Amino acid sequence: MAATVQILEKNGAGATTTDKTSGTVRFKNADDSTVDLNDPMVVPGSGTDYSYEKWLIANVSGGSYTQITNLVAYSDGANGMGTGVGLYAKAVASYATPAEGTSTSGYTDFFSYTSGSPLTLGAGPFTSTGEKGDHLVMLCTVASTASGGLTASETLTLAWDEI
Amino acid sequence: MKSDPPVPFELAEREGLRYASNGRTTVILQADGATLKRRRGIKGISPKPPGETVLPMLNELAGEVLKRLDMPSEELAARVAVIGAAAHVAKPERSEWAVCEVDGIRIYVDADTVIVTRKDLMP
Repeated sequence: MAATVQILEKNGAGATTTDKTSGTVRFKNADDSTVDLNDPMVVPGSGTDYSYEKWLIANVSGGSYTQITNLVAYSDGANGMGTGVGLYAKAVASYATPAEGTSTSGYTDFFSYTSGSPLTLGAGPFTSTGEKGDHLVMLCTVASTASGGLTASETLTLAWDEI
Repeated sequence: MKSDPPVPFELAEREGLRYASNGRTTVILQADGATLKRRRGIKGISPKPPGETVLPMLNELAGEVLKRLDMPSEELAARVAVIGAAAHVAKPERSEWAVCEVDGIRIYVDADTVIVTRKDLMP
């Protein structure tokens, strides 16, 4: 039986985890994993509204495998969230309490990561259960040119090699 | 390369041969210095929650029904059916491949498709 791999969202100083493998990651102006309409990002009159960081990590919850390598994340290469809405990503080893973004410095446009050029979250080899690889830290930005309302959702892919 | 639902390949070695099988397709590797592994992926993480699609439609329908309590049953049923259809959200797609590499040639196999290439393909 292959490894059972989940995507976890981590929040708060205590790194509370929520399984988001089949769920929605909601970018908002608060550090929580709840998918609701509270603390929404807003279209600013000028400048940019930054979301709180989203800290995601792969977690092996069970199954049987020898090792996992080449853990990567990538997009479909096209920003479908609309004019003025951006999504940025970086890989970070150690967890820190998610903070509200103030700039995209240190991040890379998530849509530049594609299947041909993914973001590496860890070469491995990883064994046993638990969290594996770096955190995928993501940040959403809304510029004054954006339209209000809910954006379209976007596709995140997590892939890895396993023996 | 889709299979619904995809079954992960199991890897085994017997009598000097390496196998990868998902119960439907079996890959047998008989080559020195070759590798055989699984390449797995989860695509479509974080879909739009169905509630956000359905809620405005429910609100709109509720408003119309309040104004037209005599809305014909066929029309009401059709409207409800449309909302029900909108509630279906595609689940994240799992990709389960077996990957052989022999002298720089990679063979990607899932339940339906075989791709032979030198490229490093991702799900």
